[in-house]
Amino acid sequence: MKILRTLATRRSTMILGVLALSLVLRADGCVTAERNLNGSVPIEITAEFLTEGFLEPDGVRYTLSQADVNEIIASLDDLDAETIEAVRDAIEDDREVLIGGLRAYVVENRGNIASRTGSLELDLGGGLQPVASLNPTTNATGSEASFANGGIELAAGAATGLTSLKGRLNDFLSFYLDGNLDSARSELVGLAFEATWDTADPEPTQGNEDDFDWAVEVVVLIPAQYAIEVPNF
Amino acid sequence: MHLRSTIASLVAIALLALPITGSAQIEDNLSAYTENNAAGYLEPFRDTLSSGLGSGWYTSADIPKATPYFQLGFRAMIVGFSDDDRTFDARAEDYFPGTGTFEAPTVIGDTDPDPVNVGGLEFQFPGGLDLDRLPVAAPQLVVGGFMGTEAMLRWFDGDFGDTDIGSVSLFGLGVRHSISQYVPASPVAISGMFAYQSFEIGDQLVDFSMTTIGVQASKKFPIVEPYAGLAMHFSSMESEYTFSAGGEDETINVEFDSQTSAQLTLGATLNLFVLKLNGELGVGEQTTYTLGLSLGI
Repeated sequence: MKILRTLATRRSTMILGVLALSLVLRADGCVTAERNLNGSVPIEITAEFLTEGFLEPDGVRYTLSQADVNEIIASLDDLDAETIEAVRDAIEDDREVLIGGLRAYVVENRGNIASRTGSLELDLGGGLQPVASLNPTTNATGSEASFANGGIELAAGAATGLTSLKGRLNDFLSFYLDGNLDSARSELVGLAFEATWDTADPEPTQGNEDDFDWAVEVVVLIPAQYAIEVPNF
Repeated sequence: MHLRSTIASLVAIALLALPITGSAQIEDNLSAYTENNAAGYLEPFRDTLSSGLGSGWYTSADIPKATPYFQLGFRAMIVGFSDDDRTFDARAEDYFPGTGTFEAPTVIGDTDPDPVNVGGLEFQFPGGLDLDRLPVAAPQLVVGGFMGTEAMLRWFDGDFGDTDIGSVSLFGLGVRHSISQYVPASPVAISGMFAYQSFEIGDQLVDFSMTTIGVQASKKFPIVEPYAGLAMHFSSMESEYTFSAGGEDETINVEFDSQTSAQLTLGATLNLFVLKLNGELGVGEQTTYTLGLSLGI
């Protein structure tokens, strides 16, 4: 009997101990802490160009239409509710949209294939602002130009235009989050990119003229802030 | 599954039954990382699993030659991180002009790194969870006392029924053999150990495996039994997730470098009738603190 009583006492003590430990571990805030984790959600603004004929001093221009901006809005609409909430939290925390970078690619080349040099500028309504120089080694179908492969370099003074674009995008995002889509569209519709090709090697000739569709993607990083709980011991 | 899921799952599993909410929200944040960056970002978790699961296997080096016994227990390991674990050399995506590497937070690093700015273009590396330490837990069954040999089993298999976490399985099998039985004059008990563990989350989301070899020594007093051990861990890890960019998804397989690490363990066990309580300190790549509770005869 004494052994049974001892066992019972020890068992009760042990069970009480385990229960107490469990309660301590599960108590809200005792072993977890909240963190606001910063990140970003990439979306793209795409400008599509058709270059044809011969090298000309005038650039080819692409102006964002309402349909283009609707596509950007659609990409935001595709984000899940949690991500949108994270974007709202980031904006409320005074974080801003970032212009993350650029890349260019050739959709289809039906004519002269050449290495080229040129420039990309941005028009927000107050005149052209330099953005980048374009130096692709080829404009064959499917070729890409990026900072990584040297096909794109930032232009001197690019920060001015990029800062203006960033301001537009911040206003666009605020209007979008407020549900004011007309005002959101007005921030971007009419925004234009202009590309000028200065050289091509070999140069386009009669019978082998330039004729290629290509595009520039501006990667925009939408800020997001995720509130998460982490272990805190 | 997205990389967010990897993180969410690892955190959830590290915590096992502990309360955790909101970890799923980091998916879109982290799915912007490609293979090389993901490996660097997640490396502290690999190290956590290696140090954490490498701990707590034993509470004594004394393995009876012919007295059968069993113990059912639970090990809770807390792995501490150093400052070096908080950052890694990351590369921005190719749409960003920086060609070198940038110091970026790992998964346990700062939550709000400043964006990197090059000529007006800015790149935001994902933040970390700002953790100094992380818990790992494992249930364990021990059966021994046959020819001075002991077998150890760690096993957990569960389906969390959540798309972010999914199925989780931990399997560990170890064997220890008394060396001191061949050295009657030895003042302390000595044993050698070989163990294998695998830890999987979802369908190839995380596939971690580790082999451990080690030697232990202990000295039994009436209630307290101090022990020490030295072990080598050989671990590998792979992770597969979906990289999201430009509206397109790409499956990324991250194969972490194999890791060999040494771990010195110092601990003590309280032998209280059918109950064993042990605490130990593991010193190696990371510092590990282990608490164990076992019941058995």
